[in-house]
Amino acid sequence: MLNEKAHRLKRYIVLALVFALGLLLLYPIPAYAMHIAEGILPAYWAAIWYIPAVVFVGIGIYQIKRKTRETKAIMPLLGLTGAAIFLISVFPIPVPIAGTSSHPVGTPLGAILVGPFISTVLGAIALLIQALFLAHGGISTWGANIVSMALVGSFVGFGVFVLFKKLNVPIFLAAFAAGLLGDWATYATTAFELASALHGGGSLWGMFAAIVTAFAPTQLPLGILEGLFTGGVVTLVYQRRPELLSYVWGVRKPEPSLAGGEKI
Amino acid sequence: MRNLGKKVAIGSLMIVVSLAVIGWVFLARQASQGEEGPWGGVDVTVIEKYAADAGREAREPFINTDQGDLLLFVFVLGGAAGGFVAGYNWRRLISEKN
Repeated sequence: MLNEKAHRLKRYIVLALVFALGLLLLYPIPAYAMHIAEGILPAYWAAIWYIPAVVFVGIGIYQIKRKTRETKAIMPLLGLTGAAIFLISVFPIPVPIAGTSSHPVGTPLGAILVGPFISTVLGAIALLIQALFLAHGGISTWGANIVSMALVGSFVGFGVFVLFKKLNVPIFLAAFAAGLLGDWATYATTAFELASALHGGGSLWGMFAAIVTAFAPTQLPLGILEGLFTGGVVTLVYQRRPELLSYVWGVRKPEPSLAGGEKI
Repeated sequence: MRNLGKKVAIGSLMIVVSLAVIGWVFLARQASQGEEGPWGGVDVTVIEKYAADAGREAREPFINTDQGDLLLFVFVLGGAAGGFVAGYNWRRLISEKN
């Protein structure tokens, strides 16, 4: 009897949390974030960041084409990952004590699910939609934002995850570390992009350190939050459909199949 | 040897997280809040502040949806569409085994 009541209470709490999270996701507040807005970077600096962005996005598009040619069953995973990156990277989170807001990046999670090159493409698409319709980021600064959020977030997250798994660290902690360091690396790259373009006659590394220190009160706790979220989602996917992870980089190799029963 | 690597990785992670929490608490008072008051985003309080110091101002976006309630509308639309796509594909991947 007591057990049943406890079980019911637990269900109510979970429902309330899900409802609160849903409200937060749909609550219409403008996103304040790390994206570099239109006009902040001088034109030539903005153009330079397009070069690595184009290379990595190009490789990612090639990989998507190759994988979708092999099996259409990867499409739901791409859809889920793209939507997750879009939502996570426009989700403003107020940080207690600091009194400021920022957002996680989502690309470390994306890289664990679909690989770093494809995650870079999905991050680039999310950034383009945000720049075009959500007054968030910019077209001229799209290349710089791709490099910091999509490219660095994906590759640092993926690299940390693979390294930790090789060291036999439990999957939650490996994904936690990936989310944490991927998030911080994104903001460090944004700081470098700003400092390299704006330091003028001053010290590049002095300005970089000043911007990183200014980001720190907001981004240190948000990195931990992103780590917890990434760890939770990856653990859940691993428990329910481990083959989704082995498809990308081989956590273990059970029956490899994706949605629709199609073998990969 | 493999266990040593695992212990070092987990230990380093714990140290980094502890330092991050301490850093957050100590640096929080220094967080600049900008003209818009508390809970301002770091794009304004950090990026635009340093850009303004260097003589760069943010331009209006090419498609400026930041007018009246239009931005709220596109955010709800984007959130709802993104949530639908994520939920639909999550169900296909996780719930539908066949």
